[in-house]
Amino acid sequence: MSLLLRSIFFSNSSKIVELPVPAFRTGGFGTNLGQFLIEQGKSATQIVGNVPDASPAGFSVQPIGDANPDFLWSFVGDLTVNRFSLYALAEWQHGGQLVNLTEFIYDLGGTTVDCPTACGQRLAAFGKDTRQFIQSATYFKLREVTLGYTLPASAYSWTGARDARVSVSGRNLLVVTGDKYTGMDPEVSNFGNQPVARNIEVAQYPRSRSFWFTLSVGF
Amino acid sequence: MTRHLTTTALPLLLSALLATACQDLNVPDLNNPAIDDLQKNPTRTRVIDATQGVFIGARQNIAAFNGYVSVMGVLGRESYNFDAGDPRFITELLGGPLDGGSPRFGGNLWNERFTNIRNANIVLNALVVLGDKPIGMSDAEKEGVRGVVKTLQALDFLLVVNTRDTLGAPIDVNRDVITGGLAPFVSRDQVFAHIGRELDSAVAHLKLAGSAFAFALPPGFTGFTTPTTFIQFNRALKARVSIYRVTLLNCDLPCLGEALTALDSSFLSLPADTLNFKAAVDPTGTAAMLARGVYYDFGSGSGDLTNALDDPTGSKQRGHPSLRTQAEAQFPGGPLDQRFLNKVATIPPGQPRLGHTSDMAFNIYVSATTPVPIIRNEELLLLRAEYELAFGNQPGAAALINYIRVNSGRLQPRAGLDIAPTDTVINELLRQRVYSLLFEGGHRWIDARRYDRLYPITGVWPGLPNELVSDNVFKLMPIPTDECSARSLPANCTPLGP
Repeated sequence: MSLLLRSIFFSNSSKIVELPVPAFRTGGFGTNLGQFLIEQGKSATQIVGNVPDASPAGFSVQPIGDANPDFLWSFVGDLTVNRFSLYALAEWQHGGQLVNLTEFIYDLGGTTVDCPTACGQRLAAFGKDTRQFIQSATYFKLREVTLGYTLPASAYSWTGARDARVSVSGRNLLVVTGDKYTGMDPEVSNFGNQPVARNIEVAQYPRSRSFWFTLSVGF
Repeated sequence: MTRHLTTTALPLLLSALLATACQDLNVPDLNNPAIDDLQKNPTRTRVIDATQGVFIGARQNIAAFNGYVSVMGVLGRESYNFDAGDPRFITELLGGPLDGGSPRFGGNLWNERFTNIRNANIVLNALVVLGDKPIGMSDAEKEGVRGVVKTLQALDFLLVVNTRDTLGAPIDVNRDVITGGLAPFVSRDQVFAHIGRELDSAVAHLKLAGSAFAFALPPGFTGFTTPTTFIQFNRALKARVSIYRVTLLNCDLPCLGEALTALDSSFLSLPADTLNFKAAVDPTGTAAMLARGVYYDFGSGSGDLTNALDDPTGSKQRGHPSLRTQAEAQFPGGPLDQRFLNKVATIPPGQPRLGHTSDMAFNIYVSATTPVPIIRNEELLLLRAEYELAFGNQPGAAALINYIRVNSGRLQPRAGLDIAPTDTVINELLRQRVYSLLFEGGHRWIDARRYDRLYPITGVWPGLPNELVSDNVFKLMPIPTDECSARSLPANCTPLGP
């Protein structure tokens, strides 16, 4: 029997130390729907949006979150007992915010669970308060579990094979999110692979749960 | 002996070859020449290419589905934009507040104009450095480039001030912002004065430009492709700007004088007999006369820009309901205003979009290559009517307004317009401008604003129509947030003060 446990803890943060041009916004759809502000002295992934205040316009652009998570912690376990093996990979991301516009789309259609009261308030505040779209991107995911069985030689020696193994695995099995997140999968980026402008959710497909049966035979 | 040669001489030979050949391994990107090249070593071809680039840049974001014509159409109640991709076409453009932080809504219609203004400045700066023929251009050819480029630059400034109005705009933008800082905002009056000066300066250049330009003009400028005829286009723009100043800035006599001179030097063809029912006799000829003018061109070739307002099924652009309710009948019991019938098609309304409904689509731009008017004879006729009205010649104004009613709308002439109260004539003029210049460039919004008719005036004017109580009419668009941030001001700033 052997048991192998592996864990990787990863954390990073960024700060722009030098910017030879004035601060500028990038990514997103506009400040009233969440954008990223590249500003000297601040995190490169800070999310800005409209926040109500006493100014003549009624609102001003303020930092309202940061897309960068506090840390990423992955766990790998590999247990082998006799011919059986069990492998599991899980990942925990803590912190970071995302802009959930899927809920905004549901609000506009009047089909969010908390319509008409809470969603009516959100719609009335649209344009003046972007903080209502900011939700936590914390998640715990069970990415893969694989159960394998190494077949005894008697089962496959008639084929002339050297070894054979069957396994069943499941991927994207479990997603546990913070209670402030109302979407389906917080690992999201509406604009694809972007260095800065990630974590914007507009009705994306969540990752599918999949199950695999594998038979591997070595000759 | 030969072994010596190959082992010692060969490397020496090769290195000598490399040393002479590899002076500069940098090969420039010939498809995207650097601006430095054009500013320091301009040649005739490069300057001609850059001049034609100013024409190309002038039409950016004009006929986009969320560009100048479309956004100004929504703000002015000519159209709706039912694009399903973003609710802000309705929530922000109709409900508000307009936010300079939305690059395609409140903060729209700014960057593309200043990009082209910069293009024009790049060409003007290159001309200072450019030498004489054959590598360069002759003085007359340079004057031709200056005249055309300054006219297009003035047009871009006009489109900016049409959107931002009293917020002003920066005009002294031909500078290096790293060393010289950002250009300061100046007031609307000063922006209009700057536009007028640019147009006049362009005419002075064009008069020295000889009989032909050194470059070809796009097909939208057909009929205005020589310096003499291009001056007519320039003067048409000057006439529009002068009339705007008369109404917006209470400029009165000086601007009226400028307007008349400009109208007389433009391509305006005044009808000899304003009560002549030409349209009934010669509809094609009349339509051609009214349509004569200068246009933005579009094309569907590789890399070219198409006219995205071509939307016969109303998938995005829809007509505002007031277009039908405010259209007059051609005669009692007859069909509606011919301009409405020509420009608007009825389509199934479908589901309401955030409470708004429209069963109209526009028939004006029928293909991806249909041009968009910059200025036409029909507008010049209406500007002449405005001039007569402002000058006090109400019968003259009434005659021209009736001419447009009869020959463009196929309506009956309106009796008693020559002795009606001024407000009545203004209302009639504005209504004719709505249908004559429908969905061409935000004229309904601009006209209502400059005649103080955005909002209802009791007993005189009902205001711009709102389908829902939650719709708001806006007077101007905010300054884009990036422009404010670059000047260390908060978003939706008022750089000239509250």
